[in-house]
Amino acid sequence: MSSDAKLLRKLSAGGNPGVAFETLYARHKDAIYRYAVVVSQSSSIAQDATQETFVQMIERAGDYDASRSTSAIGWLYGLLRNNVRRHLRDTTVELQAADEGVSLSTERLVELSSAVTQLNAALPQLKVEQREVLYLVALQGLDYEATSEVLDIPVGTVRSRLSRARSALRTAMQEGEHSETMAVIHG
Amino acid sequence: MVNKDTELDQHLAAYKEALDDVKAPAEIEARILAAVQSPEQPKVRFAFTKYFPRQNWLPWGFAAVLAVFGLSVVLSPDSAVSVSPDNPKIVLASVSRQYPVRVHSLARGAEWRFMQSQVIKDQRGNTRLVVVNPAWRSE
Repeated sequence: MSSDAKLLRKLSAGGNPGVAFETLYARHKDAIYRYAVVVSQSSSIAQDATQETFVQMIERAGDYDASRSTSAIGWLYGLLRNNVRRHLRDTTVELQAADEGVSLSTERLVELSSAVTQLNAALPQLKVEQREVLYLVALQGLDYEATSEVLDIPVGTVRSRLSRARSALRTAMQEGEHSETMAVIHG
Repeated sequence: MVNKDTELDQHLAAYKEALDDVKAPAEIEARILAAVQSPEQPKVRFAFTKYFPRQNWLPWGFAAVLAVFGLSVVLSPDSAVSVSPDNPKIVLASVSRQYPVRVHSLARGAEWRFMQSQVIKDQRGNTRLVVVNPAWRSE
């Protein structure tokens, strides 16, 4: 199986994107889309940002620095992050995010514990930069150094943002739990 | 109640498992390929920057200005440079322009440099450009 770096070199040669694009897309599309969904809290923004990211991947394949890593996922996250943030700047989706949330299927939500559904409902209350760090470190398992490269921030900032994100998430989930309890008590 | 880090980590792990069900919609791939293979031609300004990157504009622009200037002096139909027989300090050049310009001294042996000039009319009414002869040295 060809590495991302080799596939990107083929893409940078120009012409029909072909198999190189299909392979890269199949390999990374879901991770990219999930990041966009979690950070933007909007499936429409996530779709647009994902599309733009992979178009940029094709157009800028020659910019990829293979010496940094053979996996392009970090580079793609960087492109995606700018696209998501641009969409969030251009729209008022943050005001809508509390209602929309992440588009997990209803069947799946029913299977999961109530705490997970609370987490799903609490995420929109975090700041964008907190969701970014939370997704990359807590959900994708990237280490602090890789995350700092993707987000273009110092490692120390990654640590502090993650700490604040976890604290904010805990608070939001506790408030959500309290609201549910009060709703049950008062009918 | 979520009071402990370990509890939050467990919830995050469960959430990640749920997130695995989230897939990129199938239609995105077709839209990507359509966007990349669009027959739309690049705008002229982008084509320009492809061959003339911004970082080269300043030196290219400066060179273009110099070239235009040099050509304008050399190719001017009225230009002719000679040392005044009356005063070797003066280099005379006839030019068609009616205003003071910076000129490149073309006198033999002169150093290449710019100097301020003055446009005058000689006794016959011809427009003459007067500059200091850079090759002149007081004896």
